[in-house]
Amino acid sequence: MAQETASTASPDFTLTKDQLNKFNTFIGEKNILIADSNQSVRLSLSRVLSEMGVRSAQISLASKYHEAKDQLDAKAHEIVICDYHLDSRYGLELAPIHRNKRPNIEERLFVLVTGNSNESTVAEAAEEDVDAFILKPFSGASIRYFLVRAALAKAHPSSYRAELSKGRHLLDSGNLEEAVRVFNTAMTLDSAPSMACYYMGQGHEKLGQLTQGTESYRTGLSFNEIHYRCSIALFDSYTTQSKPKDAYGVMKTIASNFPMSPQRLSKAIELAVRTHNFEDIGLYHSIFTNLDERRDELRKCVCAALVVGAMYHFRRNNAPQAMQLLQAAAVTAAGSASMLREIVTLLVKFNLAESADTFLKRFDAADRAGADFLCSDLAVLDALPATRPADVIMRGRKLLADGIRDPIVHRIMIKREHEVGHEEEAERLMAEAISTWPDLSNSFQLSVTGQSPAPTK
Amino acid sequence: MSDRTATFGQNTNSFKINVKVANLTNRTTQVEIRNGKRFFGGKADLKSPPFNIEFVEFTEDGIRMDIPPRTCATGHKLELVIEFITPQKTIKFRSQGTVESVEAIPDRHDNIVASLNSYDANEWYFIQKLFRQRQSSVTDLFEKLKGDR
Repeated sequence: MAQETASTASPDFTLTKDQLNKFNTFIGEKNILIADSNQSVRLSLSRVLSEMGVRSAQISLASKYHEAKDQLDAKAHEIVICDYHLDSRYGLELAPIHRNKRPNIEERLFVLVTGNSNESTVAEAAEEDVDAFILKPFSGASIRYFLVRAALAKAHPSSYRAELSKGRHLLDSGNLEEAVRVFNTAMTLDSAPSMACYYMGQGHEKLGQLTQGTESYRTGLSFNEIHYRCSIALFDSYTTQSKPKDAYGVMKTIASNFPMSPQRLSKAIELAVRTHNFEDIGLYHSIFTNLDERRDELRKCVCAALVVGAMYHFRRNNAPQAMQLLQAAAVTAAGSASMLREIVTLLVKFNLAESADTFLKRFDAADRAGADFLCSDLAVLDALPATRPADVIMRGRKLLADGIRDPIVHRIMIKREHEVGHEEEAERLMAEAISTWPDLSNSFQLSVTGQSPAPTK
Repeated sequence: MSDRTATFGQNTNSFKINVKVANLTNRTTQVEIRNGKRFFGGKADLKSPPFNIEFVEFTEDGIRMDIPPRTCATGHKLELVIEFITPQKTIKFRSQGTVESVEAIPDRHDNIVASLNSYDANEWYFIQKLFRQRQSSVTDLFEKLKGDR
């Protein structure tokens, strides 16, 4: 059973008596933790396990992440069955804890049972080394089938998989050279041993042999040009070796062939910016918008990349494309004042004050007393062609009197006070600005040197 | 993966099947749960809070669901309309059923198992096959991503 694929498997998920017996032998006295917010699901899963011969004393139930973590800490269950969402946390956060508690791969199982069918979730689960991914609503037959399948793959592996497992133990215990030898042997046991190549690469990397590691992954890809683990490892390897262009090339292949987990998407975006592949930012944004889960860190990363991408297009005189990215950034920012400020600042920088003005309207009412809005508002006022210097000075002085201390305010006020001949005030602001933000002193001086001195009164 | 290539820039969710129990009518008591609202004798029960019935499991002879408390008891006869919504189409499945068991989850809902009778067997077979194939496809992708293929 360990050899057959799900797609060639029995379509009604039936099991033989022999498979069930082997499963029961695998389970033995192992403890099982079921973590799901829905009590009906916990009870259904317990029922299925009981029908398979698991004693109720072996089964623990948890409805929340912290309950599950506490139980795992206390009892170190060999088998965990959990949902993707656990109250406000993610079930997959338990996976590394479980691995730590049960380092012996053969004796542990981590199974996800979830209604989240998004491909990025599948990618996330695969990267966490989950053993089975079961969708809700499930049937008792599907739970039994995939549990047994996962268990028997561990309990009765092929000779290739047994060698891989042996090698992994050696890797985990730090016996690296022996591990590499074992993976070399494993390569002779399968016609397309990409997985052995992957683990061999991991062994080389841990030995500090980065070049050999890279070669191993490339060998793995020669057997299967879209082997996920080898692709990801090659990407990581190029990144470690500070070869961002090569890394990005691999990332594009991964993005073309596989769904992206949120973590992977974040890395792809950072690399796209680093390697100046700004043309791809819009595509990564569309991947982001298709995610079911859009976590804040990723949202910020996407927003920042869209703004940087817009800057790139402005510099290439491609304003329409730049504006498209900024519109996307504003929507993605979901009202974030700091991000909207970045957008406004960029537009002002490229002399698009009228466009910047439209983005001011996107600030939430609650944020309009905050520094981000007030500084953005001043910057737009300063940039609009019809604005009188006196209006800018009056607005800026009010902000300073209200305690707003920001380089933008100081820069604008230094320029405008100098412009109307208030040299003493301009110098006072300059001194204050340089003292507060010494790294920006050049930009403050430019505010003055870039202007002709105003005629004396 | 090659027969369902993800185009660059598009994480898809082609496995998505939304299940909505659009209507549950207790023929024995005349209580109806329609799109989350409770009706009695055809009139809306405005005091009852809204409740979306959750389809939990396919059982041997029918289905397990989470329903509002005190909607039915063992032996009651039901009429069901369940929508299975895929990216390609929506299947509106109608069936009658008998409540085989009720488990009260305190302060939350009742969990019932209903056996199905009087339904289009071909349609039900198709729906179950759809879910099995979905599971198989997800497992294929999952194992490819793990590098097991």
